[in-house]
Amino acid sequence: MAAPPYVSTWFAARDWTMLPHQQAMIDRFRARQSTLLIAPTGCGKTLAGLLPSVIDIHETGASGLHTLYLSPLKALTYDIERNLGRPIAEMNLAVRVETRTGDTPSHRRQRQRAKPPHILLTTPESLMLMLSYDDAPRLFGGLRAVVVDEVHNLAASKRGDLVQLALAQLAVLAPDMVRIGLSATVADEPTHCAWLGPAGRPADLLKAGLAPAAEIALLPTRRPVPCAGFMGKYAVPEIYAAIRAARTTLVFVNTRAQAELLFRFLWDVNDEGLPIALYHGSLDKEKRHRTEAMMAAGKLRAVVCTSALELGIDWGDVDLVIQLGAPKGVSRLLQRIGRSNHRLGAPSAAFLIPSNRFEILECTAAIRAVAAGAQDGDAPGRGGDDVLAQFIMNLACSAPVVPEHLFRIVTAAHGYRDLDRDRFMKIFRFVENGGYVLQAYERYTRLAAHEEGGYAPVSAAIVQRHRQNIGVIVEAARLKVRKLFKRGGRVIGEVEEAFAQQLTVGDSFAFAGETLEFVGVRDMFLEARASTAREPKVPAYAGGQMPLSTFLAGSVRELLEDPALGEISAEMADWVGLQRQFSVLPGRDHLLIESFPRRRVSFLVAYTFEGRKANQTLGMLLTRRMERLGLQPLSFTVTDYGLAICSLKRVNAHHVAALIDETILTEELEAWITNSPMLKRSFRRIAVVAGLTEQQSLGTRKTMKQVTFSTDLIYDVLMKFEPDHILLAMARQDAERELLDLDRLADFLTRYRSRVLFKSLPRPSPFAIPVILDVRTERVNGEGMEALLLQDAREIDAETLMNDVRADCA
Amino acid sequence: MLWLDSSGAVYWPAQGLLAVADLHFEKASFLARAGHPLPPYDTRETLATLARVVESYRPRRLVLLGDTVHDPAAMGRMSADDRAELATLTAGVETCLWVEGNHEGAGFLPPGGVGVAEHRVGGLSFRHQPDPADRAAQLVGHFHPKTTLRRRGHRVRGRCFLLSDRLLIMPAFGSFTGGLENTDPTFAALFAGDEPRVFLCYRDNIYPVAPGDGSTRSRITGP
Repeated sequence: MAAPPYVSTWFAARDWTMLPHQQAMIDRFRARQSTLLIAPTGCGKTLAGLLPSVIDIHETGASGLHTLYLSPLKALTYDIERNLGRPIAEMNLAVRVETRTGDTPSHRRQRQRAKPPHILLTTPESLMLMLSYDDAPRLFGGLRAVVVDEVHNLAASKRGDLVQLALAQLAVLAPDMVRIGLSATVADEPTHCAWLGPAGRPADLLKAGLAPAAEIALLPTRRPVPCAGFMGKYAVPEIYAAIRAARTTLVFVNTRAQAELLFRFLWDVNDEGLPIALYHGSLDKEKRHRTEAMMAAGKLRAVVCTSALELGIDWGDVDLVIQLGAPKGVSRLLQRIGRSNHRLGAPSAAFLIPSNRFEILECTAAIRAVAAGAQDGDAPGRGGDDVLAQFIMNLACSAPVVPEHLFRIVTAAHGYRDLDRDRFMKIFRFVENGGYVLQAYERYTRLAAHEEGGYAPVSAAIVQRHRQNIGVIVEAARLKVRKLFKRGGRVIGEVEEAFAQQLTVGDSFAFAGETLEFVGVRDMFLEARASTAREPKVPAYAGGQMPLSTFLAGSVRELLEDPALGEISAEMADWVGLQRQFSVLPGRDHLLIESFPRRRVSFLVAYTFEGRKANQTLGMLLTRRMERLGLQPLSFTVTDYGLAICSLKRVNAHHVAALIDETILTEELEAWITNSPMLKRSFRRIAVVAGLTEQQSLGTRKTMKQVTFSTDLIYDVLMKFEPDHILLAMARQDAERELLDLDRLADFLTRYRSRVLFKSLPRPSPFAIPVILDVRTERVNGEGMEALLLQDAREIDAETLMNDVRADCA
Repeated sequence: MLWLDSSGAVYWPAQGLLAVADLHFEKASFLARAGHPLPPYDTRETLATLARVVESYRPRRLVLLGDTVHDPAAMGRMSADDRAELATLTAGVETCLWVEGNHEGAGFLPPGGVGVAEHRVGGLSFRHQPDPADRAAQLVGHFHPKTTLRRRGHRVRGRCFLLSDRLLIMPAFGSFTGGLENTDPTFAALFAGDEPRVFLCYRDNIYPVAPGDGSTRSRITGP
């Protein structure tokens, strides 16, 4: 069927041709066929997803809410509102489009519930909130379509679980609803289709034409790539030259700290005063909106940004993308590169800049993988039980819930299709009254039998608290940053609390493109004033780290076997040569383990190339084994290629057989499961999502009475008194999501147990340097720390004794 | 001579006296009433630890240094098992003194023991919060001190004792209790110029902290 004349006229007036997939989406909508549209960026994907609704609303004269559009980013909803508003206005259609996010003022939310727009653009969290009101059936009853954007970003996450469950509930409220998913290219298409559809009925797949090949290269620089580091300062002149040569450039970095520093470096050399801006998630909303607006108006030549600008926001004029630091994943790289030449048919141009020598390998592997058309990224798996607990409470807030009925809704979501009844009931009981064996607790119930049947919250306070805590993103406690002037101050963004805690008054740090001097913490604000320091400390690294995909880690190992490795660049040849001379090159046939001292502690570095998840698991297990062997481990650092364990005692060749051994999977595993700091971290997350505790904010800490205690204490007590409790099962599920399945690790250990190449070295090898300088370490609670504390205690004792002697002699 | 125990207790051999502060019994059930589904095992855990400490020191006198219960109604919520355990504990010592804290509320009746506003013995005053007018050395609870140390790039945080010639602030003994960093200005004001010695509780041991070591990087200005 052809598009209606007003649509084709509109396209024609712009000299555009409707693309085949845009046409196909209109047909599928009419056929009520749920569809996952996979298309590279710049192919008019959003229009393809929403145009059918616009046409349907116009033709049927729909009243009430017709289409729900879900996006993982608030900013994206505003962007879509603009981009959809234009064609609707120009086609002169009476279709109302509005956004609703956490930022929407309450009077407007009220109005939207009373008189909803035809198309509502919102986020998963805002949707959940709307679903928690008792008028949800009325509001959503006439829904004809749900459009889920950025499916590749949402699906394999807890927010994706939330979306799936919301879709299952919407399908009950609006049986006529069709599901439209929009996604960038993904590695596993069928699983994403299954994720979108109801359990057992996957959405149809529609693939749009291939994007033209991207032109990606390493940016040649005059100065060599440094051995370690992550700031890429060496490449600043070349980055600046590239910005000058291009119309508009997006410079992607991997962390906020990198963004801050690179921004400074660029302005240091910005002799021409080019408009270069900074954009990351910690900056104040106003500041970000200003940058977005300037970018949209074509007033900027470059933006230094983090993944906050990675998703679909349409920057029409970007013609160059620079990636500083290793790209971490093929799909992620493609996504970022896709931000350039966001126009049909034009190839994307991109430069990669490794920030240290190891990253030359990673960048090269990524470039080769893109050329080979490879994809990576996680496929959605089982839905999280903690998300389910939140969903149950959410439904109960809207109307009394009957467990049997609820179970049918939940298992209609793909990720929960295999959920067994017992587990479901345990989760339900947890929501109801905590689900603890101790009988006395039934008095403290949150849901109670309702007179009209089913269970409902016992008080308005419980409903209110649930609504305030909807969401599955558990963030570190944050402080707003207030820049002080002579009088008063202005909020310019936020930082993690942990970062504030490591500052001493007078310290300088880079933030929001300025250098600030730490003045103090007052209430929930970090106060700072302009600093004159040349070299600032940098913002916290937390919140900006991203793991390398397992696929790319494997590609790097293959690259190491490439005889032409040294030809990639001179510093590569130098670095690899040194490693070969000083130690040995890691390879496929053996597992290289190096051991060396550094700064009064010892290091063991294992080059596994198994990816971060497997390395994390291995790190946990190895440190436990080392604790058992009396090696007194202190911490370990996981990288994408391997792991480094820091211990007080040195690992020697004779320890290796006891370390790289399958029995760590049996003997250490159970002990690990109960004591792992990682599991406690998972517990912290699920405790918030499942509604056990609330996100800790500094505000709750102002008075002694409200002193909060850590969820670690709850974990310990629960483990001791009710180890079978559902919350512990949830924590384990969450941890497993973070870890690689043990099968892979078992394979690895079997393969390499007799093929360990052990090198005892006087100092870190060239390959070890970037690993041990990595900032992400995992602490080991145990004898190592005890030994350190004990030693210091002895020193203090000795000092006291000496002072006593001195006093006697005086 | 006082002994500091890694559990957070203080033992005074000369007096056969064991003191513990801030047990906060039934904190979880207090929060559960407000709809936080916390596990109800905090009282049980605290009692078990207390029983272990009492067993190892066998004191004649047990001093509960205030905020023993989280709220005035806490005893009513305690399970029968836990009440029995508490009764056994208090009956096992010659004297059990319940020093009044700010959480008990007026008219709180200590089960199995004597309620007192403060306790003075051997030149020491035991009370929940320090009294600046008192010239004697004081042992107090209330503040839940914690400290953070850095060792070769590694961080450890735990409950701690703060000690000067005139004041000993005890850590909270209860299992679900938060803490106040020892660098908090509250403590500077309490010690009025004296730099207190800090003793960290970590696993089964107590570690003296060198002056100026604990949490030196996290000094935060007060309001």
